[in-house]
Amino acid sequence: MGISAAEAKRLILSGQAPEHLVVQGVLEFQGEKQLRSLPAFLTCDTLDVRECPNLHRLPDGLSAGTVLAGYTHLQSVPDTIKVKFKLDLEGCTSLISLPESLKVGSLILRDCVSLRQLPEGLDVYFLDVSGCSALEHLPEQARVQGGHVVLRGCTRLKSLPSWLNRVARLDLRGCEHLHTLPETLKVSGWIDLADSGITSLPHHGQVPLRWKGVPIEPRIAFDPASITGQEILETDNAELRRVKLERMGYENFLAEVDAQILDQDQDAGGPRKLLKVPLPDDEDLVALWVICPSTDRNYVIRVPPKMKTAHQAAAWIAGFDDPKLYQPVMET
Amino acid sequence: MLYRHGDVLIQAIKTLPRGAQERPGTILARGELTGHSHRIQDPATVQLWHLNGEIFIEVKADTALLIHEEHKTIPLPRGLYKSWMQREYTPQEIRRVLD
Repeated sequence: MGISAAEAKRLILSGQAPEHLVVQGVLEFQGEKQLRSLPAFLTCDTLDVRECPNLHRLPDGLSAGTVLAGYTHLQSVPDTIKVKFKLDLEGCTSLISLPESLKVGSLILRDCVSLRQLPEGLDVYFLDVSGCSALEHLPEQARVQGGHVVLRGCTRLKSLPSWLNRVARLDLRGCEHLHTLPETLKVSGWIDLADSGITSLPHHGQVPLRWKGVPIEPRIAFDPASITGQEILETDNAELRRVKLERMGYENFLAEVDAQILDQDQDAGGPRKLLKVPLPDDEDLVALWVICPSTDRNYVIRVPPKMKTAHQAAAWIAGFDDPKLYQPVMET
Repeated sequence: MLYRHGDVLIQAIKTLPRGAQERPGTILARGELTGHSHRIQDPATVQLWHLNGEIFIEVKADTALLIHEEHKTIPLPRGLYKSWMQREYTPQEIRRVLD
């Protein structure tokens, strides 16, 4: 028999909680500044310590069904931790290591930007490391038992290991240095390969593809030069039209469909233009074409169709309905 | 005083809104695809706050440097700021600009 979550919370915050505490229910501390430590060998159903700014480590011997510890300053997780269903460490930007042979149902490591590697022997059903931009490779030995694998924004990943051979869904968005997949990989659901480095899938021809969540035919991913402006204008589904626009390139599209310039002026990046493209049986596409002052890259951002001037459109994009209020002192 | 750092807007404010909660870390926004982030360089110079999905910056030093892998650095003087993302229009919804 354990004690109630409310009683356990009182003991823990007063610093009088004994070791080997067994707690029934959800032990909820989200955002609690007073929480500085938890007793060793704590057992509970769910432990929620998200956004606790003064908690810097989890206790030795922690045993729980679910641990939610996102947006804390954890640097590591104890070797002795046991989590059955879900370990969520989203936004732990100081996290640098996890225990070897960590076994858990779902492991969420979204935006753990300091994490450079995952532990050897990792054993999970679902893995989400999206935004782990320092992650350079996956373990040499590990197991994902048929669930979802989200590698979105893992920009340093260059290859996937051969043990990753059976997954339901594989999200590779933004994995720009990933050019091939293991021949042995079988994906039962879909692969999202938007902005990844993959330009063909010779061994995975039948796998349904997605581009930022939108189901697409392989041609859209692998042969964007075949997309025409006319085809885009005739695409009924707005989301698919957006993907085709993106793949063709706004600049190519606007040139091909003969966009009208409604207004033009200058900002910190150089010339900017307000463009209009009439779409058949749809409202006009009006967009502001701007150049980033830091990177010189061109961006086209769609604005409400009633916009009249480039400055009005830039103000609207920045969140100002009144253009007079948009007067940035510095733009980079 | 308004600053634009790529797709992030920063505006000086006089007071923090009531109910704002401390937010760990120094990241204001992270690129969905690139993994690059708009963030304050030195954690000792700021305390971030959040309320209803909005982020507020308390610059506790004379200057805090707003950095990003691709955008030039903006020095923010001591004070309070509100931070938000650019928006874009689609026929279905108005949403934050996705980068």
